[in-house]
Parts: sequence; structure tokens; C-alpha cells
Amino acid sequence: MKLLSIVVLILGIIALTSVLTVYWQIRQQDPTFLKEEFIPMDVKVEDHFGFNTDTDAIHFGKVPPQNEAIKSFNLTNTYQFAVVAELSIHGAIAPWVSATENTVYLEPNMQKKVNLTVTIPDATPYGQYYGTLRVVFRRDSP
Amino acid sequence: MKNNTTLLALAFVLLSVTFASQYVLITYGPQGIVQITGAPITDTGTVTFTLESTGSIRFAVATLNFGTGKVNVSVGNTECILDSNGTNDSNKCINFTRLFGNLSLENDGSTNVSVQLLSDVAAAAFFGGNPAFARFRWNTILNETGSCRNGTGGYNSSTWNDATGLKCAVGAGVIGNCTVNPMNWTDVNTTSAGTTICAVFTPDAANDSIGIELNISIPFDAPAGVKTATLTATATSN
Repeated sequence: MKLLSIVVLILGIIALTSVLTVYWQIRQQDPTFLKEEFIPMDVKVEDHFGFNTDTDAIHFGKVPPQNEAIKSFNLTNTYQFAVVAELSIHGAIAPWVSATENTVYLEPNMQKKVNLTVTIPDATPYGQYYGTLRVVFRRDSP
Repeated sequence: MKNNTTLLALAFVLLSVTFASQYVLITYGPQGIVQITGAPITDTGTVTFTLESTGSIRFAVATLNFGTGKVNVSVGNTECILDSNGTNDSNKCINFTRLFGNLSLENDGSTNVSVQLLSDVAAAAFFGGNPAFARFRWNTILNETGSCRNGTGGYNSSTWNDATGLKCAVGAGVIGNCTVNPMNWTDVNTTSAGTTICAVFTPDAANDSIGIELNISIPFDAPAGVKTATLTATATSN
């Protein structure tokens, strides 16, 4: 009985590690994947304007309806091969935010500036709205 | 007893094989396969995301909307003058909205910023008609005292050397004016990067608000239609 418990335990460990291995393999199936980043975003809809240049997140500041705010960031590639950065926006403010480029091609040792613009629709209720910018960096496939 | 030992050994072997295979996969992974094909791999680099310490706000001047109207040419007027301080002469202007207010800007961050203001259009292109009577001007004000300072913290003066003891003295490290600029009606600036309306805009909650006022003059012969200008204010951390 004791031996049976040991065997079951070992088989359990094997099963668990196998599952983790499969998960890791699925996650790494794309050999071009380098890394991804998630950057929080927020905007306050009010009746007046406000700047926030802090860099801990993408703060668009205070923007009344029908107006726009713009934030900029730089993408830098110091690899010796070309990299593609894919941008996607998620969360409540996603429909209001657009980027100058959603797919950014970076040659080796290249830096590129990207602008994000939030446009507040008419009649948006006052309040704070949040979202996330996801950036996936991949090695450019020839 | 022998069977038990065999089972234990078998389990140990299985476990070892599993860990070994994972080690190989994790160590060499998909890139190992690429290396075998001869494709060069150089991964001594990084990809980085860096947020700039700037921010811009684009005001559609519809935010200050003078409504719909026309110049009262029946009594020989050549222009209609309107501004965001309530100027609206009914002898010269017909049906336009009288506005009181300004484009209020706050610094909601945690650092001082400088602010530049740019218009996408000047008076002549904005209104059309006789350019001698077309004006599109702005003025800046402090909505909260001390919101705009110079590099040494001085404030409340339009001069660099304030002898009245308001701490706005000339000295090393002084950056810009001790208040907002301009402080009278001035033609809008359409040349990038615009006019620095505040060199040091503070984030202090009680002193972090400046205002932009607008003044327009519509020529008597301006073509009918919707006239829209866009102002862009850009803040950069000091």
C-alpha cells in the first residue's frame, strides 16, 4: 500500500510536469517571439483639460468630450536583426485610442516614435476610464 | 519485494526522462532547431518600450463655440469682433453667441512642465475674406495664482527682475518668464513648435491652472460655412 502511494505520487509529478512542458511548448511555439509588455492607460473625462507627463503609465490627462490627447513612446531595437512590434489596445478606452502604427518595423539598432491619440466621443459621461497597451516584440521573419 | 523495487526504479527512470527532456527543450528550445539549419542567431540585444515625458492636448475650438451668425453689414461694418470674455457687439455682429470662459489647462502630473501652444491655422486662412479685417488671437491667464513660474520658483510677474519682492529675480538658472505669456491679445502662432505660454507650469494642486482666451474678428466678406481651428498644447517635463 505504501509503495502504491509512492508510485501514484511519482506518476502525479510526472503528469504535472508533462502538462507544464506542453504549456511551455505551446507558449513558445512561435520561435520569433521575443517578449511582450503591458502598459496601463487612463484618461479622465471632465469639463476642462489637464496634462499628466508622468511615465509610470500612459496618462492622457483630463480631456472633455469631442477633444483629443496625445501621448508618445519610443520603441528601440538593439538586436542585430529586424524586429516587429505589434500593438494592441484593450479595455474600456480601447475604442477611443488609435496609434500612428499598429505594426512597427524596427531595423537593427533602430528607434521609432509612436503616437497614441485618445478621442473622447461626444456625450461621454465624466469619469476615469482605463485600458492597457500590449506590445508584442517578434523577430522579423524573412 | 523485488516487484516493488522494479516499480520504484521504473518510476524513477520515467521521472528522470521527463526532467531531462524538459531540460533539453527549455535549454535549446525552438531556437535550437533554427541553429541547426544554419540561420545566424544573435540575441545579445534588447527591445524596449520607453514612454516620453510629454503630453499633448488638441482642442477643437468648438469647445469655445461662438455659434452661427454674420457681420452686420447693413450699417457699414467691416468686421464682427468676438472673444471668450463676452465681447459681442450687437451693432456689428448678428446672432453669434456671447461666450464667457477660457480653455482651462491643469497640470495633473507630479513634475513641472513647460507648455507650448500651436494653432493649425492663422486668421486669413481661418476666415477667408479681406485679410485686413481677419484676426485670430489668443491671450493666456493664470486661473490659479502662482501656477506658472520661472526656473527659480519666482512667479506673479511679467518681468524677469521684479523689484517688488515677488521672488521673481534674475539669476543663474532662471528659465523664462515669471508668469504666462502672452498677457495680451496676440496673433496665434502657426509655426512649429508654437509659443511657450508657460515655462514652468507647476503641479501643485492649488496652483496648477492656466487659461487660454480667444479673440476673433470676422471680415464682412468672409465666405459662409463652418470655420474650425485646432489648437494644440504640448507639455514637456522640465
